[in-house]
Amino acid sequence: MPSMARNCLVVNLDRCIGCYSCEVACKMENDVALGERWNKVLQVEPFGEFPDVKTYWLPTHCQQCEGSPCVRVCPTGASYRDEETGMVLVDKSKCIGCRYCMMACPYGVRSWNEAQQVVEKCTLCNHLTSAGELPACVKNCCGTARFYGDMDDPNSDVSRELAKYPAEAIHHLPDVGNGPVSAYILSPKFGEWRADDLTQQTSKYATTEGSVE
Amino acid sequence: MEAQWSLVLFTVLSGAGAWLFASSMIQALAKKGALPGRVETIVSAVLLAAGGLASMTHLKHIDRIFEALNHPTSGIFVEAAMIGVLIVLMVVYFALLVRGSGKGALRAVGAAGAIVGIVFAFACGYSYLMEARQAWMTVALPLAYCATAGAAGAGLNLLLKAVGKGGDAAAGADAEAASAAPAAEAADGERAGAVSFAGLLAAVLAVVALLCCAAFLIYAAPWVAEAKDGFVIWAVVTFAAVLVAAGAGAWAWKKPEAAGAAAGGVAAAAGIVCAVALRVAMWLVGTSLMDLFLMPLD
Repeated sequence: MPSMARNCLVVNLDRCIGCYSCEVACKMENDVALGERWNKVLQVEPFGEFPDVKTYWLPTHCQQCEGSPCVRVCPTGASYRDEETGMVLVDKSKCIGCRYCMMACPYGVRSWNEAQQVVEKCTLCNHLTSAGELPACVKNCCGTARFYGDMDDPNSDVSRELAKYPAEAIHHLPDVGNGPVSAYILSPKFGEWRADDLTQQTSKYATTEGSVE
Repeated sequence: MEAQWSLVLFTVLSGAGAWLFASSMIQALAKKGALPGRVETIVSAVLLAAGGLASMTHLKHIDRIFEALNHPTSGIFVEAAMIGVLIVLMVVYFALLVRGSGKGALRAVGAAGAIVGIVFAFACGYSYLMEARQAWMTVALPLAYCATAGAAGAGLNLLLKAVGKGGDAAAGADAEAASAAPAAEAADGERAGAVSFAGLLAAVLAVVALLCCAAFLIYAAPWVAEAKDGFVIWAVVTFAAVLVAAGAGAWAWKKPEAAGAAAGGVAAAAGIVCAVALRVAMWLVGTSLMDLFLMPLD
């Protein structure tokens, strides 16, 4: 039996210019209402001592966790992992609106659809990717900083991009046992990976200022 | 995060109902009182049903509730299944009581109800163990859920024992002794003994609740700085109420005739307040590891 794919996004922060195109493209492609989001760019605020000050942008979205706590806690199976693509998805017709999955997501990257009273999230634009296209955020990234593909396929865009960089440039959001698959590239010469400082307990550097809403 | 009152009421009401029946059953199995009577059984079932209804109020699509049968390993499914089984056991037990069935059958069904009820109260807290809420990731949380529900339920049991007539099963452990003594005197003595043991049970469960709440809140202490306003007040109320419940239980234990219904009322009220306060404190200290979308749950 073939193993499940591990489709996800990889964002090269060395190339991200903080233009928010991915946020806008996501909203337009998926008709995400104002105040709701499946994708959000944070500015990791300037840190360091003047004149040696650095900043970078951190686009955030579902990390396609291997342990996916959201899937584990969902009482109805509305949150599920697609057996073919490995994507964590939401079947909105089964969602009872308990929001337990939102509580269980370590990153707070699930969204509440006020109009339909259901939970939503990044689908990796599966309506596009299943037809061989790229997700809207990847297609519209003007810095060519976003990549989509199967982590287990050495020829996928994500694997080939990651292969260009040393281990110290490859990062994940903090893992508390959930196993995030999505990855970020940030070379030491461009910035210091500060995600561990972005938890609610240590929140020091993240700002939402400048986000499209 | 903000307190989720639907879930607070769900776990307090249903947990107290489960533990009311369990306390009464423990007392009977310890031969310190009659088997749970009609009043205990009805109050337990009503509390379980009220708790179940309270849990529904936070769902936005109750019309899809049967979808919950799709994922039997989720915490919510386990809670729903156990509360359903518990209510069925209460109904069966009540039917056996009404039909005047033998004590063996009552003990068997009652013991099953007590065990399922205690496990259910633990499971209600266990559902909240999730990586995203680091302050909750300790077994002390479900233990505190179970023990505070125990303090509330044992307080209610004490109250019902103090105001009641000893239960319909009328087959307390001392029934044989009672037959040898003047009936009224024996009944009074039996009732005082039952109230005393109910007081002891309430005091013990309150002390266990105190220890479990302390263990949980000590574990959660590193996250207090991120907690919502009011956390400290609710934590203080938790401890104050559980101490009152323990004191009332001890009073009834030592002086069952003098303490009576007053101690029962205080123990029940303090137990419920303690259970509510612990849960609210839990919600307020339960910040997510990260909240990148700043998406409120309310």
